[in-house]
Amino acid sequence: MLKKKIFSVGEISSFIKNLLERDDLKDIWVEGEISNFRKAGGHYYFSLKDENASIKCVMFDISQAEPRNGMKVIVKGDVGVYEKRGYYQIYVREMRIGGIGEIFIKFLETKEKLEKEGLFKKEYKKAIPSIPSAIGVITSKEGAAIHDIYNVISRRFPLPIILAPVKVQGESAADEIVRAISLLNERNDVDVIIIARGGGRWEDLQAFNEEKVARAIFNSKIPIISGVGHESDFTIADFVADARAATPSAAAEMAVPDGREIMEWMDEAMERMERAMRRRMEREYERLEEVGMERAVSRVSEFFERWKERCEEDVKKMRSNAIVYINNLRQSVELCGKALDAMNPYKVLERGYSICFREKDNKVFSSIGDAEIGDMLRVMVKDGEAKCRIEGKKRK
Amino acid sequence: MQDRGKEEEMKFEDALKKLERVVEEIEKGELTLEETIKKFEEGIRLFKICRERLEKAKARIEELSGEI
Repeated sequence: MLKKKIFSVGEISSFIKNLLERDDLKDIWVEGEISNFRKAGGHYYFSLKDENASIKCVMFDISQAEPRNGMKVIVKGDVGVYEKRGYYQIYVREMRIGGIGEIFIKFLETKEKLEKEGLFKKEYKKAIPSIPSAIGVITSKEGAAIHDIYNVISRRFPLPIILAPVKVQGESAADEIVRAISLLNERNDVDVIIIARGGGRWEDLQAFNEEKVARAIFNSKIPIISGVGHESDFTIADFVADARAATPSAAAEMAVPDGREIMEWMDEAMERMERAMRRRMEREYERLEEVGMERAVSRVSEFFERWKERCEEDVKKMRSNAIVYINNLRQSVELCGKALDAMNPYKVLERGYSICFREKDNKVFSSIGDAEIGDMLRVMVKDGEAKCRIEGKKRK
Repeated sequence: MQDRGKEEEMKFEDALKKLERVVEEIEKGELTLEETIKKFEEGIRLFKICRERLEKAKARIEELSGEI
């Protein structure tokens, strides 16, 4: 058969099925740990795995046991090929539960040990900066996590992301994560690190349960946010990290603030400044009014001119509401100056009026009772003064 | 204008904090008029720097070089 040049899919599948479904692969006992467990259509579907391999299993009789992920079990069944999907699996007929899986026991042991040492204590948690300059991300180059993080960060608060690409599962994963933490710590631009991995089976998260990874997270000078797996999966990395997020996206949200909120805060700060400046101008106006109009007018207008010039450059470059604020302020400042100007009593002299002062005390002569016949007055006109004597007076 | 150069390079967070301080100082009203105006100008510059940074900012991914 193998000499034939081209097979149909069905032909080759059937050939493989015959190869695998041999008597010596029937009625066999297999020991392993349950993972990827689900119950559907009244059957159990799961994988059995150990450090080296994984094999799919299906179990039709669900009355014998209630398997859970992480359980170590021994199953009895036949190896069979499911041609429709193109995979081989064990058709399980019998299952014996062998206690909690070794991985889980190791996880509990490491957790207890590090907890006793105090690695999870709140007092050791470093503060996450409210606005970082650059974010270090330790995750797989290929996984969804880096894309999720990138999307959240570019939407909320765009920043440079320094990716330290690592394997997130498998033998070398833990060492690579440890190395990535130390490399990012050597840089001076990164001020927060996200360690991330998308959701997966619990047993695939084991790199994040390793003691050396926990210690590297603990010893990192840069604060670390963990975003490993899904909501329900806790790893030791989660316990020791400075902050724990349920998913990579949530970790990214924790790492950066919302740019819109900052924009709003800034606009508010601008408004506060503008209000304070207005109040200050009003106060200044009142104060200048007290010390005398002439000086006030010149000081205020001179001052405004200078200030306007200095602001001009900034104002030109400003956009949106900042411009409105400044223009409003400038207008109010100009109005203030004009009001001062208009109220300057010396201005009326220009229009043909005069002001009389009593010579003896320089008080303004404004009421007929203020002076007697024979008193001397100083009469001020727009371009000089004249001395005058009162020859007679009459009350209106 | 050495200060302005420094402001441009300032960390965003520091610029925001500085803006906050400037606003508070102006609000307190304890500075002279001249100082207040200077603070106001500084506030405007900081506002501008922060705003430009926010508007110009782009997310980018840089991959760590070297062996991991």
